[in-house]
Amino acid sequence: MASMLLPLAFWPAAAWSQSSGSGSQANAELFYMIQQLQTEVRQLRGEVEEQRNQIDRLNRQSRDRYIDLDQRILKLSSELSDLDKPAASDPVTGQGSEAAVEQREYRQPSAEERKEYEALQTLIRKDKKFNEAINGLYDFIDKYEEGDLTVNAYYWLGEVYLAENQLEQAKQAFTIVATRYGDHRKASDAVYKLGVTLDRLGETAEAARRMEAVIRNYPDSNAASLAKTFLDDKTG
Amino acid sequence: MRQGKHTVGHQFPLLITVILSLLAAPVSSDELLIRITKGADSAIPISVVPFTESGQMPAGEKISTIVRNDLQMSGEFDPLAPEEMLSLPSKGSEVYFRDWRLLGQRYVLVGQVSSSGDTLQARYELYDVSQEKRLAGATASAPKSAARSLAHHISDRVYKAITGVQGAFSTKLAYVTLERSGNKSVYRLQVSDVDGKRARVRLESDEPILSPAWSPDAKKLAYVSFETGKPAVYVHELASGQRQRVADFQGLNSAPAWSDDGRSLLMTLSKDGNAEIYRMNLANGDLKRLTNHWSIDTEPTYDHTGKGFFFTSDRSGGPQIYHKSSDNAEPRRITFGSRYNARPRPDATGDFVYYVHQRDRSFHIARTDLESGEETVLTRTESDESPSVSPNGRMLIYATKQGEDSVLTVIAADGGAAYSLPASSGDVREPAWSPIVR
Repeated sequence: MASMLLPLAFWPAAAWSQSSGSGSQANAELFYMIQQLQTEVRQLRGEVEEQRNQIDRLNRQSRDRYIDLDQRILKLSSELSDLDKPAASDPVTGQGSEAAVEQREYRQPSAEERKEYEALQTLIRKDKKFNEAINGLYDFIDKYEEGDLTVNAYYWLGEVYLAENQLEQAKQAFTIVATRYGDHRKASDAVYKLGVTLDRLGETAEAARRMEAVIRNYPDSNAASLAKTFLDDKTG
Repeated sequence: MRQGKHTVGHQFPLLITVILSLLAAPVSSDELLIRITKGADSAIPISVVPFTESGQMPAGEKISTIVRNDLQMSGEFDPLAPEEMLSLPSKGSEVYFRDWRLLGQRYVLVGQVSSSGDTLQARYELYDVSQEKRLAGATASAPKSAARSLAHHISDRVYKAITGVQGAFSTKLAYVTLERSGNKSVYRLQVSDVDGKRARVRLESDEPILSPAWSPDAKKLAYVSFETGKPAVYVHELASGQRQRVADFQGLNSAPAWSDDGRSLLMTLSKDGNAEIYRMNLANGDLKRLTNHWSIDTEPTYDHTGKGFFFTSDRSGGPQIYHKSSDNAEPRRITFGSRYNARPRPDATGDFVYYVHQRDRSFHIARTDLESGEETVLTRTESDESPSVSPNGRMLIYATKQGEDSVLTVIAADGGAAYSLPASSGDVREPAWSPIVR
């Protein structure tokens, strides 16, 4: 604490000693002005730093809240699909939450959007910088809502989390694609990966249900044949 | 003042002889006493059974007593008093696990100490009561004069076997005591064991001694001494008592901190008119200026990477902790919780930084999680200062007021258990925890 106070005592003394003679009045005023400015700059700097910190915090909080909210929606929708279970044998109503209801038109990406997406792909596939990629994907999703590539970004978020073995997060990401964008071309892959994630989480029955859903809902997809292999391996 | 300045300069060689004679004295009378003020709620129950002894034992505390006190001081253990033990086994075959389970013990340490000639030998075994398994066991020996070192070594091994974390009981503490009698003040730089025992005076002066800092090999201390009438930074080799005045520039010379290779020091100098942080190459005295701001930049300390450093700056009004990840990086502000945060001390892993934190006009020790930015106030005492983290990051020592006097307090680094190390006389302050030397 003493070391903080000492220079405060030195500094004005040194500056004052330079002001002498006829210019001393002007110098004194200048010095006073500088001091005032310094005080104000300090104060402003403090405010900027504190606001930046607050913004960082808010960003983090909103992301956490988003994940939390998503988790609750996830729980709700799985409870809902459990309610539907008795009718699971019925191909029309039994599609659960992963149903491909109807085909939607997705917003096509702008050139800039495509470029950013490709940068993320490089980060994931080539550089394997997963942590950086996760942040990038979230930013991408925040920035470009409800586009064709937004769904891809969610899917890749799931992939990266899966690679990082953050299974709960992977589950959420895949579920978003599977439930919210059931008609997207990535949906079949997402449901399949959701099954894989659930299997790794030890929820084998749930995993099998997803695999069956892939085969039922997306019979011609690559994911369907992967799901068949998965089920065969499990039973065989 | 000016007069004194010149004469003290000539007294310098004399001072060294004084120190050397002090070194020759075996142990100072100013030993610190441990007193437990608060136990942790989650402390692990352990029984350190009194070791059986054969041969001529050195005077002083028994090995097993020192081990028991060490473990208790960590705040992570709750040792059973020997009077409450149902049996006093000294080897594994005599341990009846049922008895220890009955006493609610998780671990039992048994052992034997024997002496032959000048050597003291301890054979010890640590058992897990619920698993009925031997966790560790070894034979260690030391000269009789180093019985306490032997005990601390066993404490380290036991601590490591149970927690998985390197023990820090064999490390040292440096601190400054102040004794006032009438108009005269005597400052003493002392080095003791972590339990406050075997304290030895390394420097005595009528003027303040501040900011002791351990070199990474724990062989040297750097500190600020006002012995010439103004602050200067010294490097003091403990074994030989040799000292070197490394920084004595005009104005402020303060807050030395070692680099992890021990070849340079960070310090605060005001030789260019304003308090800034510099790095000094100790081999040739070359200086590199690392901060450049018209506000006060001070109290530098290297982070766990050894490349970046934390420091205190009042560039945003009150003192706050900043971090520079390299010499040329932009400083990033770390603390936001209040108007006053100073004297940063990071742990060795880069998880937390500890510092003095002002809240409601009292000073506490707080830490910030560097990953999440979360701040936790760790102490409930007031007027707390000078935090220093144990090298394993599990304990924290700081100075606080007790009545008129300043005392040292050890707490678990997460704010759990607390222990005071009051000096038998006068003030104690500016504690510095030595590194673990492998």
